Amino acid sequence: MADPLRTTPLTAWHRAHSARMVDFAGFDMPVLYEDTMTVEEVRTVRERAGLFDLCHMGRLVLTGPDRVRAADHVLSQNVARIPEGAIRYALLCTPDGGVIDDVLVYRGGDEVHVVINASNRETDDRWFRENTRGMDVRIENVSDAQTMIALQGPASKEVLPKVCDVDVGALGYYRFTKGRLLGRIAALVSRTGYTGEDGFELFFPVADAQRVWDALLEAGRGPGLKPIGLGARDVCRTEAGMPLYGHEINREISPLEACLDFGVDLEKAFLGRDALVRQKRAGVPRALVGLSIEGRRVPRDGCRVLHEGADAGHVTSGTFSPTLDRPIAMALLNRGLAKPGTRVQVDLRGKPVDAAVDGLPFYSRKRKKSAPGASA
Amino acid sequence: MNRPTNARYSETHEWALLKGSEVTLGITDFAVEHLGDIVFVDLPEVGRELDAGETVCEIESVKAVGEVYAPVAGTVSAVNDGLADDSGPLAKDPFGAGWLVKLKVGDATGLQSLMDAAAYAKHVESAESH
Repeated sequence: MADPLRTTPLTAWHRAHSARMVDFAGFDMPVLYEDTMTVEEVRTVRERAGLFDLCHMGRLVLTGPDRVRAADHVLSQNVARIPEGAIRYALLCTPDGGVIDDVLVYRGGDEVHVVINASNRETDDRWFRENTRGMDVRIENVSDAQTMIALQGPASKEVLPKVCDVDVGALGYYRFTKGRLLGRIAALVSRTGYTGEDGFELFFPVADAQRVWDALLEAGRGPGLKPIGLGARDVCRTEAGMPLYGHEINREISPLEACLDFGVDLEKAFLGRDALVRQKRAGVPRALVGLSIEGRRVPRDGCRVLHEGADAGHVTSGTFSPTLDRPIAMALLNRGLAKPGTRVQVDLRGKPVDAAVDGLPFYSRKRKKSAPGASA
Repeated sequence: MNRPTNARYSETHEWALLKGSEVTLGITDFAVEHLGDIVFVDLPEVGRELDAGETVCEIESVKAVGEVYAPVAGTVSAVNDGLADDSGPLAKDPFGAGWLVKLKVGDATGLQSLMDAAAYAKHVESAESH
């Protein structure tokens, strides 16, 4: 017997609202809602706003005098240089430069928050503790004590002020602040997300999960806010060219190969840094690229990519993009083939399909002005 | 959805309807629902010979690909060409306008090992409870 699936404070709500549930990293999560389905959910996020239950994701809070030193030892980003109130993308690497996880680091005044992937909750927790022994740091795992909800899409900034006292106009991209939900619930609010749209992620006590979820849906009724499943979340992040642990990155793929240089500071010391410096000096063997595929068939994770008949790499994620109305894929290719326009073939379950190397992302929203730290 | 009682059903959610020596093949409402948003139907060429259990066509949805298997050996005698451009009928009417292919079969006795509509309904029920 497999272990029973873990639930979130919103699992019962999903089940009562036409969700089709799947096992995601051991959690019972909505992949889509039958009332909408994935394609419409993607459109909702791109044109209006969507609400995501992300309670399955992990969160660590580092406090104590060595909190920044500890984070800087474990994470690839220069945490000491993150301004207070700002957020950066970072990686946890093995000593040989493989990726254990990718995370977002929130630099607070007295604490450092780290948001980690659901599939790596236990691994990251252990990795942080084992590698910061002897340092004066307290690591608290608040994953089960906190609700995490994302509000994503162009209408998010209209919806949030109806339930939250944070000055949305003053909160820049990849910034966070403390605020109150429904007049009394202490929350951490960040302008972040995993969809390629403007939006927010909210962190607050688990006891208020349902109340806030309901209030947000009610506040978003006019602008068309809908609950969104993990299927649409995955399509959105793929369209936006964002990596997913286990696909674009894993222990056998370095962050330099996955073109995540913006999250890696080789000028400072961290676990895996020396291996990455050596790799950079010797030449990074592979590169993450986008693929434009001819026809309507969809390459999936693991499909081989060929160049002039020879093995060139593999597809890391593939989906049909409702936004672009065509199949899209990311692939890890031999670096020499990473130039946009390079003609390759994808082995789609035995049938070769023509494709061309394309830049990432496939989709980016129109921005009025560029925000600092918007590269992630 | 009313499933035709004169059709036979497979565990992998295909339906097959025998008329003379021709079998019309499709996928069930359950399969359609579980594939999610269908974006492309990759149909075989007319004239292709298939063994029982061989893949007849692939159905791509946003998040998955579903393979349709031939329940019996036969030769593809017709395909529902329209689905290549618009898979809508497959989602809306999988037992009617959403049929996939017709197979000319020499020996249709293999269909007897498939389920009837009542047994298939039970099969789906147990699949849904997982």
